Amino acid sequence: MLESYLLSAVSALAVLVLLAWQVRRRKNRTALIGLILLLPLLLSPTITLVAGNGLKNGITEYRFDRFSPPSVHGALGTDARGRDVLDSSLVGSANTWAVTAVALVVSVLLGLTFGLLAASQRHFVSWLAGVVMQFFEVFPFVFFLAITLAAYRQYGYIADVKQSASAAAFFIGLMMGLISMPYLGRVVERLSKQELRNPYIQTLHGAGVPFWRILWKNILYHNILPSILLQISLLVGVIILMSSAIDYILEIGFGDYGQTGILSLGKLLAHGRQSVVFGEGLWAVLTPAIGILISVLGSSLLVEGLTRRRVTVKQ
Amino acid sequence: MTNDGKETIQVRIDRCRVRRSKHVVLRNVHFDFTEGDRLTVLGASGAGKSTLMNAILGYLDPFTWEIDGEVLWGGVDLLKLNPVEWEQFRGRDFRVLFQEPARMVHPMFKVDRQIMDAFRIVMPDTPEEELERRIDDIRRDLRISRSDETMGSFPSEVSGGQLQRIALAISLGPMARFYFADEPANALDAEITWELVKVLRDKLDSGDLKALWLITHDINVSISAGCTKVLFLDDTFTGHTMPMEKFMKDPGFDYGRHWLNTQMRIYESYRSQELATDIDLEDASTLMQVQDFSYRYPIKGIIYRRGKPVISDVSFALKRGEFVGLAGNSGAGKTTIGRCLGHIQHDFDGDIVYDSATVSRGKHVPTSVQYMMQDASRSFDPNQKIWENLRQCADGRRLDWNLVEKEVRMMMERLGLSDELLHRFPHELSGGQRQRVAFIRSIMGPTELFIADEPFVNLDPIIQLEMSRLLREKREGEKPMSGVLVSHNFGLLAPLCDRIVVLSGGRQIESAETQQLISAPQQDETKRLIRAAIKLGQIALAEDAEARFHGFDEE
Repeated sequence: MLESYLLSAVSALAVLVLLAWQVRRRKNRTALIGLILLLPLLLSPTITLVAGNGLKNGITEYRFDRFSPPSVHGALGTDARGRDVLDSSLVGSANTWAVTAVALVVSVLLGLTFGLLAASQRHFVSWLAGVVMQFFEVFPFVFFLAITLAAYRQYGYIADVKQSASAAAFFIGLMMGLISMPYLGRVVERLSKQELRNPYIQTLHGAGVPFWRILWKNILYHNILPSILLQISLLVGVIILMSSAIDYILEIGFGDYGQTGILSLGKLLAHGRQSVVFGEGLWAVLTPAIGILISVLGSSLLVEGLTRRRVTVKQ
Repeated sequence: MTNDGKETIQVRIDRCRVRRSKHVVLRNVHFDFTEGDRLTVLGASGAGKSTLMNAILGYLDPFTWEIDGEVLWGGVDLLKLNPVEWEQFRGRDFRVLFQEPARMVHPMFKVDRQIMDAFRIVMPDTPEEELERRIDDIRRDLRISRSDETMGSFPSEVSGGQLQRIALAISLGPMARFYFADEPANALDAEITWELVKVLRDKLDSGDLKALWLITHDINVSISAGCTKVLFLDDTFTGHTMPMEKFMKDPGFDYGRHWLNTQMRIYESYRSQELATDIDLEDASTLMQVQDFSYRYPIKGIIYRRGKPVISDVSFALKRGEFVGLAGNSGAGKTTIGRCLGHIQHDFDGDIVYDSATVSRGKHVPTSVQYMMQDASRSFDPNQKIWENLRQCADGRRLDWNLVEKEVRMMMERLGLSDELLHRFPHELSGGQRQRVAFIRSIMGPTELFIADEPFVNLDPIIQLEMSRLLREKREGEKPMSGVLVSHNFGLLAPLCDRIVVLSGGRQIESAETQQLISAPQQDETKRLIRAAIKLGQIALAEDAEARFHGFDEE
């Protein structure tokens, strides 16, 4: 399963370079702190890809003693299933990144599309886009995910298809993107409608600029992008938390149906739940918990720093 | 306070500049604004008139602006107060009317409530009947109708002139010591401007107001309001204070003399036939025809339906090269007609036939028809530079930007705008500068029909004259430009337009050639408007025509 990390590693590195460039350009300390906090999440796919075979032993269940403290079998000890905590956390965050990236791409694409469609001046189109967003808003997301994942697993059993870890990550990401799409779509719709009331839109209309061009260039690109970026940063946090929560819930609640076979930070938490209850080997839960925390915090700080208005003084 | 016990604002501003660009906006403005003063602030557009008022009243953002100096009020330096400390002075001691009336009202509350609240905050112990009486007074003076249509509506539902009057009622109604008005007569027609001038005089005479600070670009308004003191801001942003009489006789410095001379000459050229063209309209073909135009507002409710017509039976034709003026009281429906002609609104009834093709529901929008809207200074994408804004419109109209840019630069130079403004963002320009750029944007390239809603408002007369000249040149060019100008100011319409259509309460009451209309109006409504315009010095009549108005007075 470790061979299929090429795409996530490349995408994570690309995002890292892009963000580093932006942070350097804006010279913002908050953004820099955010980027540093995001480093473990963004570098984990590359480490997993490079050290693939080395990690294989670490994440094999019951290979080591259960709950051996740090520095006996590894730098961070072993967990309830006898895995190396560091190795499994690395693989877990690499998977979490893959799910988050897919979900983010899907929800940004769909959110922008449906948000702008809902702001359209054609009544039918805006009504339809609104109904689609409303469907994903009101549908309880836990059940939606449980049902779709169960169907996906069932399809695998019936058709006797081998469902690889990367395909599973992609599928979860897709579903996660679908349900988090209205978070962005509603904001885009609201902001665009507000912006459309401005007099300059009417002027551009009068000058014969096509509506889709006004929508795309003037409204989206020039005027509401900072607010949308802020919303996307919230979305990153929400998706990471949601995927962890879903993995946790599915792991403890739905047994085999819920599992898609990939290790994630949420699943590591679920596996370590006994240690929370019995106070045994706390390091096993602490690592994935901190991983989730700093990733969410980092994304929030990063975008807060990047969208803050630059104040420069000419020397 | 000074020694003789009179309340005084002592302004000692050495320098006021923008932090970021180090652009100096005010320099050496030293004067006293004392109880009993009727001060008018004059100067060209962008001279810093509004900035000075905002600086004194603490409305400048300290992160953006850097002010050296002090403004003393009874021993307190107003420049050092924080927003909480300001609360004890604002409202009771100082009342303000801002340049944009939309800044004065809350969009989500109805008009009557906002006026009532303004009174209640300043006079909390006054009984309800007394407040009602005072509101009635100010409402009657400013001719705000009591009907639900105005008082019970939201600010976005009333016309620009009505909004200005509502803002005036909010700011002028309650008791105040010092009253600051920034262009109060901007969107008002001559009749109401005259009423406003009377209200201001009454309030000052009766002691309701202790001092008046009047910012205006129209020296006639300040003279009519009885201003006795002038603060003139010149081209180096320096302030000069002197009595009105001395200023009118001889300001005592070069720029002031030049400014005053130009002002006087402008009224001369408006009165003379300098702006008239010699285009022969007899043979010209018809460019646009408006037939039985009427407009109905949608009614609030679950089902979409429309109410009684607020504008009905407006019909006129426009020939190639002809200019038609739409005049009338504020709230007469001028703006709505203009918006429909300019394809901003499509839900009208009747026909607008443009160049023998019927325009309806926005199906056919010829881009050679350009509309300049009422709040033109807001008609720019705030996150694009000025040249990008212009470029986008040129591209939309399929004009060659390289050719258009030359023309734009030429026109900017003539309207007193430097080239470097093209590379700034809209918020870095003053309201008047944006308005001029919007004007240029509408007439650049081969514009066939120019529809403008109050294009000259907010601008000083020098620029107004130059804009009128540009319009005349466009009319006389290869492809003659036609125009529909919407304005409440007869003085600006008269020299430019061949014909004037007078509207009142949504009806077309009179339509005639300009000279004929001004010298021999038929309807009482028109007579009243023209009379007020004469009193404010906007238009002048020949001796024999004066006689016709004899016996017809404001009562």
